[in-house]
Parts: sequence; C-alpha cells; structure tokens
Amino acid sequence: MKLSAIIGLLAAAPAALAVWPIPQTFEQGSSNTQAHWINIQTHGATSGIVNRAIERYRTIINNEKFLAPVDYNRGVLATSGTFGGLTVSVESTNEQLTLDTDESYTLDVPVTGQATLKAKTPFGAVRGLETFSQLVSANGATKAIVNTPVHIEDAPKFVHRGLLFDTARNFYSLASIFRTLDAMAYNKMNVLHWHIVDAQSWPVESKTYPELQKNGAYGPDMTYSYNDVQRVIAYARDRGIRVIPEFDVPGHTYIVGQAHPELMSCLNKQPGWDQYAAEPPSGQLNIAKPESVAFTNKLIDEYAKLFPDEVFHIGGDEVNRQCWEEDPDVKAYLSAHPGETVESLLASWYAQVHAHLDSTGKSAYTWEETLFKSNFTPSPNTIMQVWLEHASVEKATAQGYRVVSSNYDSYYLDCGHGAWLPNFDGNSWCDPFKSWMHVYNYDVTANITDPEQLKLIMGTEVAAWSEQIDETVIDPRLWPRAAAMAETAWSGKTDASGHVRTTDEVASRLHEQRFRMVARGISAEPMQPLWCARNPGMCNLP
Amino acid sequence: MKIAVALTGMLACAAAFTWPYPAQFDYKNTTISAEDIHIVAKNSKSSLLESAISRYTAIISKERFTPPADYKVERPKPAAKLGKLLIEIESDSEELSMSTDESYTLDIPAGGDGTLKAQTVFGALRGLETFSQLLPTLQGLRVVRGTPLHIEDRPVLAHRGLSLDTARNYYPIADLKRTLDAMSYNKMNVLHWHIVDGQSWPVESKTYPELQKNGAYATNMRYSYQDVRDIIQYGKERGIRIIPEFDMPGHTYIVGQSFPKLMSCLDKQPDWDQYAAEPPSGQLNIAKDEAADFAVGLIDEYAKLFPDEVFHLGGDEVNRKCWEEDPDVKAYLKAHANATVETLLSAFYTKVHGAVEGQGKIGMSWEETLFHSEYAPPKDTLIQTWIDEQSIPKTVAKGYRSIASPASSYYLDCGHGAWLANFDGNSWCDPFKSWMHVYNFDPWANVTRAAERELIVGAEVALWSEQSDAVTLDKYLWPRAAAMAEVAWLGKTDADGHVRTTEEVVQRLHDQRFRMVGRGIGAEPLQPLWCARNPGHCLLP
Repeated sequence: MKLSAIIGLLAAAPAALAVWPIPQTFEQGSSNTQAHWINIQTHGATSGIVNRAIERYRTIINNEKFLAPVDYNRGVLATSGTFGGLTVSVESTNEQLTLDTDESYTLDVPVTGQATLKAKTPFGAVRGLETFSQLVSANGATKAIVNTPVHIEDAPKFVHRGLLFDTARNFYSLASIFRTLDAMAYNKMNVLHWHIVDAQSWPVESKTYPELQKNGAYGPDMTYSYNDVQRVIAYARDRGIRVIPEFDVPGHTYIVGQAHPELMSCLNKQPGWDQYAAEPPSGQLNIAKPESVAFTNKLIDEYAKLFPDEVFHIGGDEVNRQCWEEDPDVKAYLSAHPGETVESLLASWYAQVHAHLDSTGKSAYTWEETLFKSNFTPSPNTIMQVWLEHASVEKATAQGYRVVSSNYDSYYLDCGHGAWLPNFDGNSWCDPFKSWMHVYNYDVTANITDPEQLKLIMGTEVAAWSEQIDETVIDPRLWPRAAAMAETAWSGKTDASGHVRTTDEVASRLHEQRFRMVARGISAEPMQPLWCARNPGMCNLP
Repeated sequence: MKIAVALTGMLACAAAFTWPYPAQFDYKNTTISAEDIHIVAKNSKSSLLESAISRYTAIISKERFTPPADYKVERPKPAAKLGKLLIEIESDSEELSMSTDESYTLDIPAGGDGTLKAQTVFGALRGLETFSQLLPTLQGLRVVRGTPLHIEDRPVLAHRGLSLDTARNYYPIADLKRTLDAMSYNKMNVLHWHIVDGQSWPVESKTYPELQKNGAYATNMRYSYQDVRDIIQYGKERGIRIIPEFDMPGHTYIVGQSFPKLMSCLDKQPDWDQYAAEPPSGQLNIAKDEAADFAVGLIDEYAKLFPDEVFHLGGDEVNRKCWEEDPDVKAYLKAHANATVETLLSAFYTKVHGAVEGQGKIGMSWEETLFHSEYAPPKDTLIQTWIDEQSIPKTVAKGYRSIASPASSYYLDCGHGAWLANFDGNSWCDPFKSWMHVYNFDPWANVTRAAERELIVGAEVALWSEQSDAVTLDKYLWPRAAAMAEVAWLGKTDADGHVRTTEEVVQRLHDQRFRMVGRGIGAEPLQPLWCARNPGHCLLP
C-alpha cells in the first residue's frame, strides 16, 4: 500500500520530486510557475566563481528542454504565476575550497516573482544553482517550475564525495576529464581523486624528473602538462570540486623503471609476474636504497606545489613482499643488518616519506594497507582510504583515523566485466558487476555506533580502474552508478523521519537524472526499458 | 614456447593482422608503399560494387591506422609501391540470400597491381574489407606488409548474425547504420532485427496503423516503411541480410494497447512474474481465431516489407498460466473436451508457420517452439537455440538447422546487474560474457556426425536492450560481437586442426578494436594500452 501511495503521488506531480541528490529539506506547494527566460543575477558581494557558475547555468537551463520520462504525456501545464528571475547572494566571497568549505544553501521559488538563492560561500551557491536547474522543466514552448512555492534548505551529509579516475592504465583526454567534472557537478560530487600515474604509464609532466614523462607517457599526444593540470584544477574548482592527486608508492611503479631502473626492485618479471605484483608489469621502488626515498620526496615536493589541495594521496596499496625478498640489494642490506627485515625496511621507508609529506603541511591520504598491513604507524591526521572490506571503516576509525570508504564490493565500478588477461576465460576478481541499486544500498556507517567514530567518516568514493576502460566507454561506466553514491553521500541514507531510502523509491528520480545527464552530453547508461521509466512501480520484483 | 613463437611470427609480419583471419593466407616479407588507393572494377556494372569501391576508397584514404604494437616501429623504406586493385567478379547478380557465395581471392604482389577475384559482388565486399585491413600506416607511411601475399577466403557459417532488440529501448536509424558498418568490418552478414516486443512497437504497419500509433514510444521513436527500406538497402550494400522478428504469441503486451480483445493476461501487476518473463505481461489469446488472423495479417504485411527469405516468428518464453486463467481459454476448453492449452498453442503455431510458408519464406523460431510445445515446425525451419548449449546437438539430431545463440556465451547484455529497481542482485544470466568467453564457445561442440554438423548453419550474438540504448550500443556490441564473428567466419580450428586460443588472437583483436574506434565505432578497450603494445606480457602465468 505504501508503494502505491508513492506511485500515485509520482503520477500526479512527478517533476516536483526531481532533484538528485534529494535536498535535506524540500517543501513545495501545488502551483506551477511559468518561465519564459531564466534570468539569474547576483545581489551584494560576489565572486568570479559565482559569476561564472551563473553564466554556466543560465546557458544550461535556457538551452535545456527537459521533461522527465514519467512526464512524457503531461501536456502543457496551466500556470498561476510567472518566474521573476533568480537572485543569488553569498555571505562570503572567499574562494578557498577546502575540507571545511560550507556547501549549504537555501533556495526559495515563489509562485510568482523573484526567486532567491542564499549561501554562505560561492560553492554553496554552485550547489544551489545545480538544484535550481533541476527544478526547471519544459512546458510547451516555454518552461515551468512545478509545485511552487518551493523552499529548499540543503547541505551535504559528508564532506568527501569522490570519484577515483585512473588515467594511467589507459589515457583520458582533457575533454573527457572536463566532461566528467561537469557530470560530477550535476550530482554535487566534490572530489576528483586523480590516480594520475601507475605502472603502465606516466602521463604527467615532471620538472624535477622530465624523463619520467618522456619515457613513461604512452605518446606525446597522451600527456598532461603543468598547464593541463592547472586547467583541470581550475575547471574543477569552478564546480566546487577539489582535485587530490595520487602518486602511488612504493608499488605500482614499473614505469619509473623506464627512466630510473636503478631505483627499482623486481622490474618486469615475466611470465611469473603474479609472484611480484597484483597485475603486470611488476616493479616496486627499492626500499633498501636511500635514493628511492630521496626520489619520492622530491616528487612530493614538486607535486605538492602543482596540486594546491590540502590532501595528497601517497598510495601504499598492494605492496608485494617477495619482490623485495628476492632483490639482491635488499638481501645484501638485510644480511649486513641482522636486526632488520623487509617489514622494518618498509616501515622506515614509509616513515621517511610520510614525514616528508607531513612537512609540506598537507594531510596524507593513503590506501588502508599502510595502516593494516605494514608496521608503520601513520600520523594521526592521515586519511585512510578503505577498499578491501567494509570492516576496515570501523577498524580505522577505532584507531582515530579519518576514513573515506571505497569498499570494492560496492564501489569499484570496473568490476564484473570479465577477466582482462587474454588467456583467462574467467570472471573479474571482484565480480559481480555493481548495479546502481547495489551502489545505492551501501551504508558507509553500517555497524558503527560510537559517535566519535562516526565523526571520523569523511565520506565515500567510487573508483573506475581503467584496465578495461578508456575514454570511449568512460561515461557509461561511471553514470548513473556514481550518481547513486553521490546521493547517499550528499543526502545520507535516511530521510528526516529516519526511514532508509530504498532503491524502488528513488528509481524514478534516478531515471530522470540519467535522462537529464544524457541531454547534457553525458553518455549515462539506461537503467531499464523506457516503458519502465514511464511507468513507475511497474518493473519491480513482486 | 609455442605462444612465443606464434607471437614472434605475427610481429614479424603484421600483414597477418586481419579480423577475422582468412581461411588461407600465404605471405612473404616485402613491404610496399600504398599511399594512393585506386580500386577498379574490371568487368562489372554492379552498382553495389561501385558504391562499395567508393566507400572503401574513402575509408582507406582517410584511415591512418597504426597497430598498437607498432607504435615504435621504424619508418619503412619500401622499394616498390602498390598499383591499382583490380576487381573481377563472375556474376553481377545482386541477389543476397543464405546461399550467396561470399568467397574471394586476393593477391598483392611485391609491387604493381593487386587483384581481387570473387564469384559475386558480396564476395568482393568481403575481399575489400580484408584489403582495407592490410594497409597500416607506419610512421606516416601507408604500406602493405608481407607481400607478395595470397589470400583465399570463404566463411564457414552462412549465418553470422547479431540480434538487436529495438523495442525495450529505441535506437535511431543512424545507430542502426553504424552497427551495420561495424558488422561489415567483421564480415557479419545477418541483422536479426528484434523490432517489436512487449514494451514498444516502433515499426509502421499499414494493415494495423494503430499498433505504431499506440505502441511507439514517441513520434520521434519510430521506423517508417521508408526507414525500414533504407536499413534493408544499407544492409544489402554491405552484404548484410535483414531478418525481422515479430515475436508471438508471447511478448505482445504492446499489441494490447490497440487490440485488448486479442490478448490474455494483459499487464498483470504486481505479480507479473506469474504470467511473463518480464513486465509488462500479455500474450495473444490462442482461444480466439481473431488473434491468429491478426498474426497472419501481420506476417502477410511484413513478409512483403522485408524481402529476406527468412522470417522470424519468435515463440520464446510462452507462459501457460497466462492462458490457463484466461476466461476465453477456459470457456473454449470447457466446450471442447479434447482441447488443451497445448493443442490450442499447436493450432496457433500451425496457422502462423503456415502463413510464413504461404509467403514462400523459411520460418525462424526460438527453440521453445521445437522443444517446449507439441507443435512440429516445418523441416526447413531455422531453430535459434538460446537456453542450453546442448540444444544445438538436440536440434540437429532432430534434423533441423540450428542457429546458435546460447545465453551462456552469446548474450551480450548479461552480467550487468538486475534491472528491476527493487532488486539488488545479479542479472539472470550472470556473469558478463568476456570476449574470451565469446571466442571460446564452440557451436559444433558435441556434434560429430558430418550430416549433423552441416545443419549448424549459424551463430548469432544477441543484445537484449533492457539496459541498453543508443548511448551504450557500441560498447555492448564491440569487440565482443567481433569475437563471435571470427569463429563464425573461420571456424574454431586452423587447417592443421589446432583450436585457436584467445592468447593467440588477442593481438589481432586489439588491432581490430583500435581500427573500429578509428572508424567511429565506440568499441571497448580490451586491456591497458601497455598490454596492447607489449604482446604476451599480460598473460596469466
């Protein structure tokens, strides 16, 4: 009965429920407001971020002739008021984008007259403009905002709503990165975790070690210059998205060996690479050589300047012990230092690298193995990225660390696409495919009750590892599944009454968001036959 | 060691890098330049051949394809160059059928004119595709490697198909044409157009115009007669037959939007699962003569619109309960003591298959018509198997011709999670079918008698569109459909009986994937580019 009540409501006034992610407070009336042209202006102090966002959304909204799939035969709505423009005001014009940035906003659209968007910061205004854009639908030759008056008070549940983008297994053009940042903004996501290098390629320019890019990029047309990186950062910042770079050490570094083989252990072992690495090609920085620390610390110095964000990801995943146990330099060192082991070498290697990173004033961000699978104890301000199992969220917060969850079993968007080693007719290691329902149902706070631990959960991050992805197929791999995570990270898992939102309740809104994204040039996957999108509740499992 | 040898062999002469690989391919080691392309029909007045020559001249002239493994190759210094490519065909007949000869012979000497000889214009089309794949650009220079080379080629299976569902979600004409292009790049020759289903009826009907009016998703999501003829012509120009499917008696909810009186169990909710494989439910009412008459009327209309000799009647996933509970069926059975749902269904099949025969066509049908009903289809019916790989040997053992579409290997939509919005589970046909899995399927498995092996006439991958539309079409199909295409063209084994392995063919498939992307097909990458460039370095030890 409950379901049919909801369906009845959807059929009557579907577009009123249209915003994705759903705002924290969303009050609406029963009138419709006509809009011939969407004027947006600022009131009071303003900033370049706000002005550019207004320009962007004015273009998006005025070009968009969008109708939700459920509204396919709604006809021209009668309106009882006329939209009188949207006025945007911000309390502060501070354009600093940090972990503490306030993204809250209040949006009021009356039945007739001027609408107002108020925010503490320019980035709150950016979020509110996105919400506003989703309230406008096509109405015959003009546009309408339905179910006015609308009053929205909104703020994110989690400060970190991220997407991991791997540009090393396969390369992505700037255009595809910009398009992804646009799509993230449509879903109020705010962190691009740029997994910019890995064993297979080193696309990014280095002024300290130019040979890394020279020998490591896939080709001269598959590189990111300093200027390219700065353009990505600026483009992201305009959309309220922080860019956290990852320079993964000491594993996943085969490509460093193309320029500095003297720094490496177990470089490109074949055909038995699986003894030395999670995937080919193998190679790790040689922890017995002080030069590998010096090399890493110089990279940190360089890239900590190029990337202004206060967080810097230092990798630390999938480190292989056999790689070092068999390394001649490591063996020689251990035999000369009887108290030492591979574990003590690695712990001291991490200590030097993390201490250096800490000295730049940034927070280290690292895969969970650094904490759970090494003898090193990261400094307390380190952020742990969990991926191996959800239980790690509880374990890491119990130790007082801040946590972002990328639990592979829910958030690895590359999974379920078959193996990629061509002589293996099997499944992906992380089968099955993570459907949008599965992504949506993950609860990063599950099994955690201590309020102090809950406070340490910064948010969530989906990941698109690119072994089987490049820019030809990136959009459908990401969308709408990343949007499913984005709603739970922005809105939380429950509504104001404490009810946990279910996938059948939100499917109609996600359909709408998917079609909206397609209309905005994002090749998001369809979730169902169009018949189902138009007939809410008719394609459920009985 | 064997793999290493094979890889070295391929690297030494990337002339071998065509997909699908030819039945016979002899090559030496001279590289010649091929900057200017002149393709000339020596003796033909075929307009199909003429348009194919201009098409391939344009493709080749525009294409600057470098195989990924050749990214650091030195610029060749050829001493000779390719002259013209001269095409000779035996017959100008433009008739395209199951028995069309697609064989060709291609010779490219170590300088001077090449020759392409074929029995038919369609053989010439296949040879032109092969020719286009022999022309990599290396450091800015277009060349042919491995000359003098000699290719003799012909398909193993007469039916190398793709089933595309344009009813769950709609695909614009441009996407269908792009798919036909991609099929021709892989020498596929049948588009099985699953044009209507329970969810929508996009195609025009002149007999029952209300079907499209009430059944198409929107006025801009339709196929007019003109659109259909355009697709048929576009397919024919690429040697691709268009077989339409009008699925009956199940999967017909959308007919009920115009003719509710012809239907049983229309749109049962919320327990649709008792009446249909997926929502919305609805089947033609087999107790009503009007339903069979309606179906025959459709067959008579569309058998004329679609010129192909084969007409697909569906017949899959028929639900008995739908009829057992239907008031008309119950009344009929009460009045006819010897009748049952099964005899009614057989009578329905007799009429509709008879109508296909009456149009002078061959019926094609999902395997349930043969295995899950009491009806015995005409002996020339093509049986499309999907439920079980063992259905292939069972079909040919009964003397029927088999088209292999096993869900376990050839359903390209599988492995993408459930699509019912309240179900956080896997797809019914999990897991995803990787290109290796598609390639490894053997349509001839467990069929040993020569007479029965000859009845295996086709292989067909399927894309059911519950979770696909124009946005995702290319990546669902390619390169996995290409993996099937090679097996269907070439068979599973070399001349010496060796079964080709995925590691032996991966480098050619990488090439084909990048070639297709270059030609505007959004095919998926198989691996990191590093692996494509370093053959043999990304194998499971």
